Amino acid sequence: MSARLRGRVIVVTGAGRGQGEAEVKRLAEEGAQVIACDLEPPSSPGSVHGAALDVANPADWADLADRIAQGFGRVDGLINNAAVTSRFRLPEVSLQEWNRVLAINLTGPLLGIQTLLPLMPEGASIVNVGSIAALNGHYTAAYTASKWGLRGLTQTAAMELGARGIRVNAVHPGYIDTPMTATAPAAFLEANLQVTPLGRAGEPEEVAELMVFLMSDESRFINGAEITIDGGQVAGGLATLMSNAARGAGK
Amino acid sequence: MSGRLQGKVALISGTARGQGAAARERFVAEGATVFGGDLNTSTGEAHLDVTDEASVAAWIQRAIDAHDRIDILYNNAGAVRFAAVDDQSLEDWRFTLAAELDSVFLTCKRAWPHLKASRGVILNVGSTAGLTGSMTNQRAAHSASKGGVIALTRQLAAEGAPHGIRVNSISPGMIATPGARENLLAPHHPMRAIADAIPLGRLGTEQDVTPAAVFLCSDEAAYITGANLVIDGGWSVVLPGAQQMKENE
Ligand SMILES: NC(=O)c1ccc[n+]([C@@H]2O[C@H](COP(=O)([O-])OP(=O)(O)OC[C@H]3O[C@@H](n4cnc5c(N)ncnc54)[C@H](O)[C@@H]3O)[C@@H](O)[C@H]2O)c1
Ligand SMILES: NC(=O)c1ccc[n+]([C@@H]2O[C@H](COP(=O)([O-])OP(=O)(O)OC[C@H]3O[C@@H](n4cnc5c(N)ncnc54)[C@H](O)[C@@H]3O)[C@@H](O)[C@H]2O)c1
Repeated sequence: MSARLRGRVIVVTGAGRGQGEAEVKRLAEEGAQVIACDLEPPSSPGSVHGAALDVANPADWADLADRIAQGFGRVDGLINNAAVTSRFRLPEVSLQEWNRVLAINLTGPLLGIQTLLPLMPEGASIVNVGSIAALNGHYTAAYTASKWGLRGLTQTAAMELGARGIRVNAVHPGYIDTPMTATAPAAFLEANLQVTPLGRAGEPEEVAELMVFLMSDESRFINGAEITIDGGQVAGGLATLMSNAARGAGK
Repeated sequence: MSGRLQGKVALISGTARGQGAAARERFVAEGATVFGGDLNTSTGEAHLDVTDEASVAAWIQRAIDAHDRIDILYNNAGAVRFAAVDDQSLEDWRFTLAAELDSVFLTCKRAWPHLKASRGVILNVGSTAGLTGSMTNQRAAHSASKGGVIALTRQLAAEGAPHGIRVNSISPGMIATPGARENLLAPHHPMRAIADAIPLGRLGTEQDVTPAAVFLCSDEAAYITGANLVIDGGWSVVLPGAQQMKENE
C-alpha cells in the first residue's frame, strides 16, 4: 500500500457526504490523520477524527484549532470544501439568502485559513473548492458570486502565504454526482452532459484523487493554480454542443 | 507494488535532459514502459526531430513496433530563441514556432489513431509564457507558441473526448533545467533574480514538475481534460511588485 500522505494532519470541511466524504476516505487510505468536519460530526473510523463545525461560525473554528493544537500540534493541510448551493435567480435572491451563502461559501474558507494558520508549518497546503461557476457567468447569483470571491481569496492567499512556504490552490469541479447535484432538476444534468466533452458526470472519488495530489509534496511548487475537474466543460463545452447539434442536423 | 502508471506505454519527447529525462525516470518508477526520443542521441535516446513530420511518424512507428500500443503521449521537447520583437528574425520566430507548436500538432496528429485505440492521454507542455507577458524576458515567439499550445490543448480535449482521449497541459514557470541555465538563468540575465518575485521564494526543479505529469497521465485524473495546470510557485498570480509592496508596508 502506498502512503503518499503518511503522518499528515489534514482538515476537511463539509466532510459528511459528497466530495468531502470521498476525500476523507482517500486521504486516510494514503496515511493521513484526517479531521473530518461537518455540521453533524461525521463518523470516525481509524485515522479519521470527526468534528462538529459550522464553517460560518468563528467560535467553532477557534474550538477546532484548540483541539487540533492539543491532539496533533499542527495542521499540514486544509480543504475548504463545505458549501451550500443556492439556485435563486438575480431578481429573487433575498438579502438574507445572499448573506447566508457568502457567509458559508466565502467567509467560511477565510475563517478556516485565519484560524488554522498559526498551526501550519512550512510545506502546508490549502485547497479552496470553487466551481466552474467561478470561471464563467452562471445563473445562480449568490452561489456564483461566492465562488468568484473565493478565487480572489485564493490568489491573495497564494501570494501572502507563499512567503511562509504555504501553498494555496483552487479546484473547480464541473458536474459531480453528489447529494448537492441530486437536488437539482433532471434537466440540469441533461444540459450539463450536453456541454461536457467526456459526456458523463464526475464522481466524488475522482475529485478525491486530485486532492491527494494537492495535499502531498508531489505538488510542492504548485501555488495559486486554478484546476478544473470538469470533463472538459470549460475547455470545450460550447464547441461540443455546437458540434453535436451540427451532427444531428446532418452535418 | 503496483505503480500508478502500471502497464502503460508512454511516449515522451525530449528525454535527453531536463524535464524529459526526469519524467522518464519517474514514469518508469510508476510502472510505465517509456519510449523516449530526442534530437540529441548522445545519451542513447531514440532519434526524434519533433519539427519534422517524417521523423515523428517514424518515431511513433518504432514505438508501435516495439510495444503495440500508445497509452500516453507527453509532448515535452521544445527549443526557443529569444529576442526583442524588432530584433527577431523571421527564421528565429519560425524556429521557435516549429519546435514548440508545430511539434505538438505533429505528434498529436500521428499518435491520434493509436490513442483512439487505447483511449489514451496527451500531456502538452505550455508555460506561464503562454499566459502572461514579461518585462524581464523578450520572448514574443515563445509566448505565441506556448499560448498556442494551451489553446490547442483545449481544442484537442473537445475533439478527443468522444474517443475517450483526455488532453491536458502543464505550464511550468521558471524551472532550473539545463535548457533554462543556457539562456534565462545564465549569468547576468535579469531573470536570475526572479526567485524574489515568486511567492514560494525559489525557482522550480524538474522534480517539482514530474509528479504533476504522473498524476495527469494516470487514471486518477479520469475526469480532468482540457485543463492547464500551472506549476510556478505562485509566480503568475501576483501582480509585478505586489510582493515588494507588501514588504514595504
Ligand atoms: N457537486 C457538484 O457538481 C459541484 C460542482 C462545483 C462545485 N462544487 C463544490 O464542491 C464542494 C462539495 O460539494 P458536494 O457536491 O460534495 O456538496 P454536498 O452538498 O453533497 O456536501 C456538502 C457538505 O457540506 C456541509 N456543509 C454545508 N454547510 C456547512 C457549514 N456551514 N459548515 C460545515 N459544513 C457545511 C453539508 O452538511 C454537506 O455534508 C462545494 O464547495 C461545492 O460548492 C460541487
Ligand atoms: N525550464 C523552464 O523554466 C520551462 C518553463 C516553462 C516551460 N518549459 C518547457 O518545458 C519543456 C522542457 O524544457 P526543459 O527546460 O527541460 O528544456 P531542456 O532544453 O533542458 O530540454 C529539452 C529537450 O528537448 C530536446 N529537443 C529540442 N528540440 C528538439 C526537437 N526538435 N526534436 C526533439 N527533441 C528536441 C532537447 O535536445 C532537450 O533534450 C519545453 O517544452 C519547455 O518549453 C520550460
